[in-house]
Formats: sequence, C-alpha cells, structure tokens
Amino acid sequence: MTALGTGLDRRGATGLPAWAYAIAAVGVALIVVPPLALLFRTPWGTFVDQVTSSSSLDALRLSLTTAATSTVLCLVLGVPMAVIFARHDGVVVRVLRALVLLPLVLPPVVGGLALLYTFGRLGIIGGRLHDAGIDVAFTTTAVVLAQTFVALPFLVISVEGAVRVIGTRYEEVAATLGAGPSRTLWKVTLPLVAPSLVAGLVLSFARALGEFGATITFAGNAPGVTQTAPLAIYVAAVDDPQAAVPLSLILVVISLVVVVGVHSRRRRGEAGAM
Amino acid sequence: MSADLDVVIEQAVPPLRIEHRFGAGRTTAVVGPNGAGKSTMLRVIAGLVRGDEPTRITLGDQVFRDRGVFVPPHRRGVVQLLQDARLFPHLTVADNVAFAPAAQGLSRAQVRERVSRWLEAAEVADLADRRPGELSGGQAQRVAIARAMAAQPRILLLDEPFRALDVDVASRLRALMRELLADHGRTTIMVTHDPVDALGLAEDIVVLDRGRIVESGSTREVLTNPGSRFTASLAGLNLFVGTLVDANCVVDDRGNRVVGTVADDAPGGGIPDGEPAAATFSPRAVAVYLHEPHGSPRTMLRATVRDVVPRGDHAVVHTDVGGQTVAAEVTWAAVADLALVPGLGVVLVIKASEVRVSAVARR
Repeated sequence: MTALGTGLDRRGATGLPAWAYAIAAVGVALIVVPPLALLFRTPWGTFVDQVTSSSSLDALRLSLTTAATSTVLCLVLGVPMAVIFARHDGVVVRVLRALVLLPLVLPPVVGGLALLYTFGRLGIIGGRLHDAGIDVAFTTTAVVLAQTFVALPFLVISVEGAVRVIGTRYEEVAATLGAGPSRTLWKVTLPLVAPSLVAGLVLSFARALGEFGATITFAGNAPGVTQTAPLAIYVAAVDDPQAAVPLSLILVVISLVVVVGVHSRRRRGEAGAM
Repeated sequence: MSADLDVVIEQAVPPLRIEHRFGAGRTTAVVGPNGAGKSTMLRVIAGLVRGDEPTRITLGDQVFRDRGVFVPPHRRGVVQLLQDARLFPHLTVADNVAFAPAAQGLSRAQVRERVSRWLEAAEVADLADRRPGELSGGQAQRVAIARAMAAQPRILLLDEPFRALDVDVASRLRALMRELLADHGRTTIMVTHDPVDALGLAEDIVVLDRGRIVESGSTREVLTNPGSRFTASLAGLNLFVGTLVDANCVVDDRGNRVVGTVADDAPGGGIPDGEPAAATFSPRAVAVYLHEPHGSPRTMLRATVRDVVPRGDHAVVHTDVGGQTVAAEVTWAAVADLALVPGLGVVLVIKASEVRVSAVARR
C-alpha cells in the first residue's frame, strides 16, 4: 500500500475510527463516480467530430475568453476589496463584506435577474446606458458581467483570508524602511499572499467557466454571442443527453487540470513554509 | 546631520505620559519592567501609533507629530530593529537589504553599492543570495541590522534586538552594534532588559515605569548609583565602573580594583587597557568582613556600610566604595555577628570567577 502512496498506513498513528473511513469512501464515490460515468457513456466513435463541430468550438471559445476576461476583472476589482476588508473592521466594512459575499449563497438565476434589472434596458443603470446608445443585456459583455458577479467573492475570500493571516508585521517594517502604502502593497503584501491570490484566481476562473443560471437569465442563449459551453451542453442535453456528453467531458478535463494545479501548488507552498 | 529628538507622548491605552529630549547622535537605553510602555514609546516615535493629543514629536526643526500634524512612518527616516528579525520571507538577503535604498529612489548602482557595503559591515556578504528561511537566528538578525543601517536612518530604534539569541551570538552582535553606532551618525534609542547592554551601548539611560519616566541621565551614573529602589532591583547586579587595566581588572579613579573575566568578545578579542569598562557581579558574590581576611583574595575593597535592607530571608548590605554603590547579600546571622550598622567601615571580598568585565560606551 505504501508503494502506491495511499498514505492509509498512517491510520495507526492518527487513530481515526474505522467508520469515518467507511463514510468518507461513500462521499468520495459520490463525487468521483459521476464524472467516470460520463467517460463510459462517451460515444468515442463520434467524439472528435462532435467536439470539433463549429457550434461546440464556438461555445468553448466563448467560454474560455469570457471566463478569462472575468478572471482579470475579479483580479482588478477583488484585490483592493480584499485588502480593505482585511485591514478595516468597522461596521460599514463588515456589512459591505457580508453583502459582497452574497453571490456565494444566492441562486445564480436570481443573480441574473438582479443583473437584468440593473443593466437591462429598463434597469437603473442600463436605462441610461441605453439612452447613450449602449446595450449590455444579451451581449457578450453581459456574459462577462454575470460570470464576474458570481466569481468575484471567491477571489475576495481567498485573498482577504491570506492578508489577515500575514497581519501587519511586515507592512510595518516596510513603512519604517521608507516604503509608502503603494510600494508596501506591491512589494510586500501581494507577494506574501501570492499563493492564495493564485488559488483565488483559479477558483474564480473555474466558477466563471461553469456559470449557467445568471448567464442564461441576463445574457440569453445566442450561439456564438452568449451561448457558453454550459449553455450549449444544456441545450444539447434537452434534445439528446448523449449528444451533450463530449463537450461535458472537455469541461471535466479543464476543471480537473485547474483543481490539480491548485492542489499541487498548495502542497508545495506548505512545504516551502516549513 | 542628526538633531535632538524631542518627545512628548500622551497616550491613554496603554497609559503613557512621557516628556524627554534624546540627545543628537547619542544612544539612549530605555529600561523598565514589562508593560512599562517601552515598546509603545518606540511605536509612537516611529509613527506606527499616533499617540493621543497633545503628543508632540520633533527632530530638530522637523515636526513629526503635533496637534493636527501626523507624518506617516515612511517619511520619518525612523528605522526599527526588533527582537525577531522580521526579514521579508519572499526576498533574498540582498533584496531585503536593498529594500530601503530602493524605496528611497536611488539608482540601481547606488542601491547595489549600499547593499554590498552593509552586507560587508554586518559580515553577511556570503549569505546575499539566501532566503530568510535558510538563516540561523543570529544570521537573520545580522541581516536585519544590515537592512536597518542601509536605510541610513536619522533615528534608529532598537527593541531588545539581542533577546531571542544565544548568549555568545548576542555578545558578538552587541560588539558589531557597538562598532556601527560608534560614528554617532544618528540618534539611537534602545529598549533593553540587560544592564550590560545599556552600559555597553548607551551613553544615556531612561528608566520607565508604568508609562512614566522615573529616572534619566548618564547610564553610568544611573546604573551605578540607582536613585530608586526600582532601578536597583532592575539591574539586580552590582556595576562597578572604571578603567580597564591588566586585561581583566576594572580600577576606579581612587585605585579600587575589581578583578574579573572579560566576557565581551569585541573584535580583536577583549578590550584594550585604558578603555572605560564595567565589572558586573551579583550581590551574592560579595562577602563582608570587618578586617582584611587571611589568604590573598584578588579583589578586596574598603567600603562604608550605607544601609541594611531585607531581601527574602537574607539581608542586602549597601556599601559605598569610592562613591559607587556595591551591594552584598548576607545572612541575618552575619548582620548580627558583624554588627553591621550604617557608617561602619568594612572589607568586601569578591570572587573573581563571578565577575564579568565588559566594555562601556564612550561618552
């Protein structure tokens, strides 16, 4: 067993009860078996053709570009929020923080509806934009906005926690060494939280990539414009579930790469901190 | 050049009420019990804590803090050196030392020149490419010293920088620090628990208790003639100050000699004869006689009893030796046998093996 690197031989040392392992096995199965089921149902004969069909490629390309754009927006908007939330503890900041984390628990469809009533033609902001000749709803911009809306809290939580943990000790040293607030942020705070920043970015990207509810409500389902991979999968699955499998498998692979990437980074970070 | 640092601090939590002038280019030791407000005082001077009104901090004609004025820490030229080195873990040793010069906007060549100068001075040039995680405690503190000095601060604040280190490592760093401070190019304030640190590095001393200054003056005078029982108990040790002769012997200007061991490994190994030096020893190492004892003890001082006070189940006899106070811890039985009363002439014998001789900051 040791040769396989399961680590289960350490059970004696940690002294966990056997039933915990049994229940954990059920939990692992619940998560691992369904993606494997996809593998078994994949029509391998037509896999390449289906994945490289123009509608699949359009959806994938749109998904990757919008998710990447949303991730950049999360970075730009989320980092200042995270450091401010970490360094201030007033009532206002605490309330704002709770509000910003709302998309984590809000059903995405509701989020999409809220965005529609903000940026839609009849929305508070969208109305004025429309008067100025700009329409946001049901465009690619709407896809990016919807994804950013649901993904931003992941980045904020991840970075804020890390900034809290490192505390102000190094920032104080930087200040007495003559570094102003900006220099301290760039040269000390952000490099120190880099591992968490990367983890937050990856989580945001993954969340944006998988976005469905807010997108379909706020951006619609126009092929090539707002139809991202999850929407394409859904549309295909309504007619014929089998036809949706190849694209789904591609998303599983992308997600897997992302998760494994973050996990191995974490492990290396922990080892380096010892 | 450096100027006098005038400090008025008012602070409610933790309570602090201080008014003091730190002399230009001088080193001042700040001593006092835990919770006396020593570190808070440094933080207010550095600008890391604002201080309540009417806190006022000025360096020469430059105002750091006054009513409605608050100069942020990065514009004060005040560097802190702490008990933990606090090197930036993501930067190499060289980049840590380069941090302040780079923040000052120096050219790349100037930064490199300053980094190599201070890495050399702190004797850590060979560690330049290491990460802080790969350094020992003593090495890290040396790098921290280089980093602080590379900022070329106008005010240097030391907060027990040797406390977390082994005795011999601390002693070597103390010698390094003495060398670096010798140019008097900045005003230095050093919080310490160790009277040897205070005596070895600081010309002046401030004794802080419960947020107030209870004594201040020349380190030598305050520590050898403690004006308050607090200062005496703070030191806990006898300090006999004079000039070094015969490599290991401290002699005062009246010819009283105390023999000991030079514990300070200053560069060149030891202190040259004729330098100011102090002998440090416990009151327990001092025996009291009415007449010169038989044999030939290496240290024998003629003294006058000043008072006898209880300490635990023993008595402490304070005596006057040529104007300096030397305390001896004896049993109550001895007090009775010798009939020790104020004004009595006695002979003190001090075991040379328990006397530590160290260098004293020159005035």
